[in-house]
Amino acid sequence: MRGADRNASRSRSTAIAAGLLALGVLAGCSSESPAPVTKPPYTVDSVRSGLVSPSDLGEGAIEIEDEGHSSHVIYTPPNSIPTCPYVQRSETVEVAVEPAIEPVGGNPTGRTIVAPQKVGPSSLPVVTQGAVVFQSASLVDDTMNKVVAEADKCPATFSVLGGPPTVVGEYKVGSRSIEINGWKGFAQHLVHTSPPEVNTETYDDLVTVVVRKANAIIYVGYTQIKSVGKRADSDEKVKALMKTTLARLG
Amino acid sequence: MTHRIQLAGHRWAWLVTRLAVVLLLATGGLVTNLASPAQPAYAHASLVETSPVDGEVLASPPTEVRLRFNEAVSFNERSIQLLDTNAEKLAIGTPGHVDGKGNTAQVSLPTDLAEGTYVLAWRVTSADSHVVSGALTFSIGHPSATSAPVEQDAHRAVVVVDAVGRALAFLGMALALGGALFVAVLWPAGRTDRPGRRIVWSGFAVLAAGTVVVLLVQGPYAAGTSLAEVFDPDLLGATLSTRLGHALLARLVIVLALGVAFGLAIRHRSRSANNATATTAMATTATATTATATTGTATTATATIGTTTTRTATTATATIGTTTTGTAGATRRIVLPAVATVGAVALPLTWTLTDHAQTGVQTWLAVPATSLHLLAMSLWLGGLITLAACVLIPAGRRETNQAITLAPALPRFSGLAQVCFAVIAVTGVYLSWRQVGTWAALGATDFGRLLLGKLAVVLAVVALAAGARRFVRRRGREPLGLDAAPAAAVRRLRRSVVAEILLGVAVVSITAVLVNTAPARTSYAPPVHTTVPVPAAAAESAAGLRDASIEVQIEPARAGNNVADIYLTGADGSLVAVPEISGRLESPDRDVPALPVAVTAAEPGHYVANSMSIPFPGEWVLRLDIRVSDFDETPVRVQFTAR
Repeated sequence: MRGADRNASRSRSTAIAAGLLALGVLAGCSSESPAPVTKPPYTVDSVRSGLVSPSDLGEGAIEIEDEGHSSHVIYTPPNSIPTCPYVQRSETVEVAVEPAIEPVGGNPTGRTIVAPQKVGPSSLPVVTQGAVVFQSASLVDDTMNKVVAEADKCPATFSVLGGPPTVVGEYKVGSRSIEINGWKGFAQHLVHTSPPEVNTETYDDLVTVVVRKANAIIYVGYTQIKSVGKRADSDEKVKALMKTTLARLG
Repeated sequence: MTHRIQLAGHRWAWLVTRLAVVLLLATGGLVTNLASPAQPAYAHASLVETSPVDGEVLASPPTEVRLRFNEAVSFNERSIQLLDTNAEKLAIGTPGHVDGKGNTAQVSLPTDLAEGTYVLAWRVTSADSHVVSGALTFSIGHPSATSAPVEQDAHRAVVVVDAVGRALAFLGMALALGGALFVAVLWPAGRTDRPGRRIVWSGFAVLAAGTVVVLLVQGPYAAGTSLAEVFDPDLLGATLSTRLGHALLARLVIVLALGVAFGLAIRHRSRSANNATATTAMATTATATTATATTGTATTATATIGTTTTRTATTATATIGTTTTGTAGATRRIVLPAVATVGAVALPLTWTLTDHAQTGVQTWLAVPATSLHLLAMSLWLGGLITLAACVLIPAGRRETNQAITLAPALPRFSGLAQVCFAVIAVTGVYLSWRQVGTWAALGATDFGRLLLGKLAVVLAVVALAAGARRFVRRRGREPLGLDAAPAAAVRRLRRSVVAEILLGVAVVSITAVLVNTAPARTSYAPPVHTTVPVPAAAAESAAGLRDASIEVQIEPARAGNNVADIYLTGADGSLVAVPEISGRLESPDRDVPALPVAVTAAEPGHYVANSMSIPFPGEWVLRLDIRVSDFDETPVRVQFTAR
């Protein structure tokens, strides 16, 4: 090999090594998020790609439209955004709290449920979700402010004394702020334990996430049945799930 | 005539010396002022104590508000604002320091405040020139709903322009210092090279422009206003009264001094070069005339006269040149290098005495280390740009009339670059450790991620520079030297150097953002995750608690609002529920009463404190009173550090 060729080869090798080295270091800072399929401003159709699909949840999950509006037991208006689930059944709450806020001026995607066909302590979780897309910043601001204000009023503890056995019991509520891929809002953790005479084996572990970015609000309810003695982990699981789904929205 | 010229030369030297002394004294005064902090600072300032305290309900309006920070802060009359329930600004007194304490701000309030809740928003400048802001609320009579914002974010445009100004200043310093060193010292033909001088002058201009931009923008940045107020005399005056303002003024003075020194250096060399050219031309004419005269008798007399006249003129010119060179030579050999050296050392100090270097740990070492880091970067990048623009690119193109040779400029610069890289590496590793502290903070903070990005780019630069160094060494060993290198090889070297420059500018840009970001060591707050055993007394009271433990997680474990998760875990790993857990926050080394912590139950065996407020950074103890039965309660103490 002639000197010039050898020099060219070495220069190329040096450049490639430098590039690889730089990429290697940069790879340490980059995330593994998938490439977004859409970006703001969102439409009713585009925002659906950020919702949880059966394949996101796992094998055996199916998707259905929630035509029963979360059933008559814990009814909330169609397309409303949850703020304090189950509170409408409580007889012990002293301050009036709306369990959900109906958005004004938004275009909803409708509410969908992604769940296993049979729910139990070892099954997949149940995800109840939807989104609302707005045309103006003031409308989305107003709606999110109302949702946050109402969620702040949700009592830390309340009881449901009567009604179907599935909802009777003690409710413990805690809320934390959350930010995922630029979507900001709150994650409200609710634990429902049944009275000892009804069920001492399991409890309901529900996390309601409401997040907003640009002109859209997305809400996701993530429910698991957990055995007593096991840690509630819905908040960690829903965060991991939404990190994937929201990355699709850019 | 010779005497007059000697006098003029002395006058020049005297003028230059006096100017240099005045500038150095002025600069020295400012730098000395910068180097004498009122009290040590540790990071961005944080609020330690307020009166009234956040959320307090008072029976009557307070006469004043006091804010105590953990380090000295500077502020102006707009730094503290009182907002009523409708977010309307109310007239208050002029903020000032309390009894000369730099870390305490005080402002008087109107005495006729109506009942309701008020927001007191503050925005002050830390010792490292970064602005911190916050707000507290207090109520008179009873709390009321308020629409006043509690956060004061800086205008985005102000932040961007500030970062651009800082980047321009970095780049300008590199071009000015590195370019000047290359043109005046490393490259023999540099002083007469117009493009090289232009690069250096543009460096001085960019440095001055960047400094002025930062000076103008700092006022709106500190006050939280928009770019429309960059020329507000009050804001500008407030900036000039701060440590950063002094530093920026000092920088402008140093730029002026260095500019004058560089101008004199290249002017002298240009004049010497012109004189030398003229003398050579005359001598050549004389030789030619003599040679012609010997060939013809008829012209001998004329030729002799001509030769004599020319020789006389040549001798006179040489005498004048020698005299001027002798006087100005002293200036060139002593004054100018002294001014240049002092200026080059002082210039980085105008950054390092007002940024992260003079806050935190080991400031005595951090300031010189950061200054060296900055100086080495400047000499390397500025020299590289000048080398590429004036030597490599013309040599690679082979399209200039003037013959461009790679030696000795390229090997000399290559040696300098090697020294610069060594300095950058050593100081960079130390400064990274100092500002980051832990491995975890690298990936968990903006500062750490920016630093990783910078490191990636620097590694790429090092790889390219190593290739160029290999070229210089290999070609330098060959008999015909560097200038015998094939044109293709020179073009490859040129491309590599251009890539180095682009990456170097990227490094400067990242650094401009980095210096405006809170250091990872102070911003990183590792979440507290600790496990303590349940006391034996409690274990005897409840069977499920035998060999049980209490796991406590506190996030983000820093001053402000925190969330604490408490898990009671039995011997088999399952959660164990108890009737009740209550909590209190205690400060072991401060005279602070215990603060109540509301703990609520989540799932059985899991308890949460959703809004545990930690007033200030430091050591804290979370005391948990665990009621294990209707009659038995046992305390558990969990010690942790809040940042």
